[in-house]
Amino acid sequence: MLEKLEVEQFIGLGNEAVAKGLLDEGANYFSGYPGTPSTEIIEYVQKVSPPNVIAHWATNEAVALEDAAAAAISGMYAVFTSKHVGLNVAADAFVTLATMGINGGLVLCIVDDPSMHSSQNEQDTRWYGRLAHVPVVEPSDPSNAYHWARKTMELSLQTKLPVILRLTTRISHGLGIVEPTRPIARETIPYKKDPERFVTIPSRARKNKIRLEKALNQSKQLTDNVDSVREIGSNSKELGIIATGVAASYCEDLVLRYDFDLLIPHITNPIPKDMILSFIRNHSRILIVEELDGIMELEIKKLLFDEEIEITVYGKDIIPANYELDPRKIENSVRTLLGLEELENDFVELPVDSLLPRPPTFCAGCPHRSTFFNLKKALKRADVIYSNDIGCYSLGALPPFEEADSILCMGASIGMAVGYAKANPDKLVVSTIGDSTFWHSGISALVNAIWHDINLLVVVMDNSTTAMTGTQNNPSTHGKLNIQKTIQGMGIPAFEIEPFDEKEFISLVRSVIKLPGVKVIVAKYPCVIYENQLMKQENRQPKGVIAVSHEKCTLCGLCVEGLNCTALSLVDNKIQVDEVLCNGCEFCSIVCPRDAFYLKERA
Amino acid sequence: MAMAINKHLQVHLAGVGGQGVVSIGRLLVELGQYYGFKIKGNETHGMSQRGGSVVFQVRIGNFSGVMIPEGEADVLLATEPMEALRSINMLKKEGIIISDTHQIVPPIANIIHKPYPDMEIIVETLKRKTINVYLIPATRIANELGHSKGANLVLLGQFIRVTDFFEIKTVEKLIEKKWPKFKEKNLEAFRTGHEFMT
Ligand code: SF4
Ligand code: SF4
Repeated sequence: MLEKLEVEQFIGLGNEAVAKGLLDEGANYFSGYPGTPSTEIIEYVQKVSPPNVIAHWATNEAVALEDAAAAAISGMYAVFTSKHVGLNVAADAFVTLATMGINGGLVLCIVDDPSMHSSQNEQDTRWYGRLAHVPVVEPSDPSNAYHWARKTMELSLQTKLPVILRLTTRISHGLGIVEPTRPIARETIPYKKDPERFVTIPSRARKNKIRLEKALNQSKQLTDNVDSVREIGSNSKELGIIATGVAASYCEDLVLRYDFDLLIPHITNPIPKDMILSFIRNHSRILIVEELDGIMELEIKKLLFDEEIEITVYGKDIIPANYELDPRKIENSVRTLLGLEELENDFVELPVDSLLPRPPTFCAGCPHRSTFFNLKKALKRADVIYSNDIGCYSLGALPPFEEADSILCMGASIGMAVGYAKANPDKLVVSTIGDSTFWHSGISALVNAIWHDINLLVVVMDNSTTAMTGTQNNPSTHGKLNIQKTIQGMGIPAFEIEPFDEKEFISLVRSVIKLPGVKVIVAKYPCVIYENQLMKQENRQPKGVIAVSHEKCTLCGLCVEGLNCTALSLVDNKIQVDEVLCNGCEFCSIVCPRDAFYLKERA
Repeated sequence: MAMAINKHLQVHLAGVGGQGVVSIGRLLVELGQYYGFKIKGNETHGMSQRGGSVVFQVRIGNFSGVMIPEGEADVLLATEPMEALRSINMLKKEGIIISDTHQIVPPIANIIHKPYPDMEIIVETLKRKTINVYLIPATRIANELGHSKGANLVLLGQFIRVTDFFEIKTVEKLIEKKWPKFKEKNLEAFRTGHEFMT
């Protein structure tokens, strides 16, 4: 155990605990791609910016992992971060990298999003540990995430393997008290060429596979001990619960009140076999509580089969495999197993129509809203397939715009366009994509579309930042790379226009779609959140706010319905402006047929 | 001081993205830490921050999990009445509800052509869970004080009085420390909310 230090404890997000833990364990190289719920790990490191630590974003997860891998091969202590689907993007690099191993350390912080709070699917990253044959470590709450992050880096150093630190939304965006322990300074190991390992031509790749198996076996020995599990209870009860990840913390809250013992394995690949077997031998019934897939259940049942142990095991038959687990439901499952009545809930039924939905919307003054408004108007007579993408502009799928036939994965708006165009020659295909997603993977898809000579309009909504995840920088930030010029270099027509210029925008769209082949419109204007941040930094005055002349307004509803700006609402038969929300973009004033809006000074 | 009797407090905060739910949630977390409690909590990030429903949960006391189990929150603190209703079943029977009365009509109402629910129905439904319902015109009070972003602190003031868990002096010190630039305005909003009798 590390001795406790007089370092100040702090309240942090699980992601901040992870970042701090990794830094204290000597991590000095961070690369990733932003994605909710993983973003704050790198943001924390950038905020505290310790000397001699590199922390940056890459264009996509594959590049980020390659970047971190090279640092780790060069003897640094590297960290890769992404959300669960990001590891799909990086999977090619990841699976082979596992066979090569590294020289320094490499931790992959992957955050799953059960219940899909901000994601297009929920997938269980623990499978990747099994696919690539690397260890997986799972904290159970934001506080102990600090400790397990350190442990993960240590495990990577010991095995020379990339190791997965598997997190979930409720750990990453949960809050807890973080108690740092003594930091370790590590010397970077000097770079040494080792083509036998790192040049994966088949003859050498075959040897790498054997090395990987040895390394994983070594980690079995390292981790099958008391340090990789926590046991709570007297180990004498009839019911034993084995719980992992965030589900374990819910069970911890129950163990004091109910008659069961609890085993929490924190290293879940390879499973701590001996620890689990001895726990099972002390109980007559076992419940396995894990969020998402029944992976522990599968492994434990195999273990019981191999060991010829007969015992009742409950798992996914009573614990849901879909969505995040609800602590109250776990409690009721435990009660049922213990022969107690389920807790009665004083559930208040809500009267019909007493609740309106409140989905997320574009910010007031968001340039994307104007782009979708203009696009819809320009193409109202065309038969369009809207191929949308992942970012704030995914919200263009919702009313009143509904400009999305599909949203698959990063960059797919353009990747899918070829298939859409070939399968539907009578329709116009329009891809809508943001700047960060364009650089991420839209660009290679665009090359494919140009190569295959399809008829396609691409609208790149360039707001100079990765907005959805909280304005991280990307190649477009500060004009480092220019999307229009980049595309023009590919030999196709590309135009740049401001989304608030309604008339120009519409006539541009209508003339551009007559051009053959692939053509691009870059709708360029900074994200308002980003712009407001800059304004504060540069001490600029914010724009004014919009006001309504009720004499001129005929209540046609275009601004609240067609534009649906968050700052506008119809109350008591009057258009009202929320002056806190309004950003003074004046787009409502541009679209209003009665000229009823005017800009006034901010109070 | 009531603190000595109560060993834990679970607060479910609900509101609309941009209303400062996270700010007061964070403040409660820090208060709990200051008093030496174990703290757990969770906050909304990502999509919902764009004008959607936002939830922040604080668990002060000896908890491991970051989520309040359904029906266990001691207090439901809402910056918008319909959001209070949305979260009603997080509250325990006869728990405490503190909510702003100021309605924020979601922009989607204009598209689906459904009116904002009747305030009477909202209040009546809230009261089916508990008699301890404290409704405050926090946004109006904040606007009258010339501090349009201070409604969350008005609500916090009321929360501190009604729950009687933390000492007002400590809260004020923390408010000063957290936002030194808006110290006077914030304290004024907080105190007005504290004194407000529903
Ligand atoms: S964060 Fe930026 S891009 Fe996203 S909705 Fe708001 S203004 Fe638009
Ligand atoms: S100026 Fe009009 S469109 Fe722009 S943010 Fe304000 S209310 Fe919305």
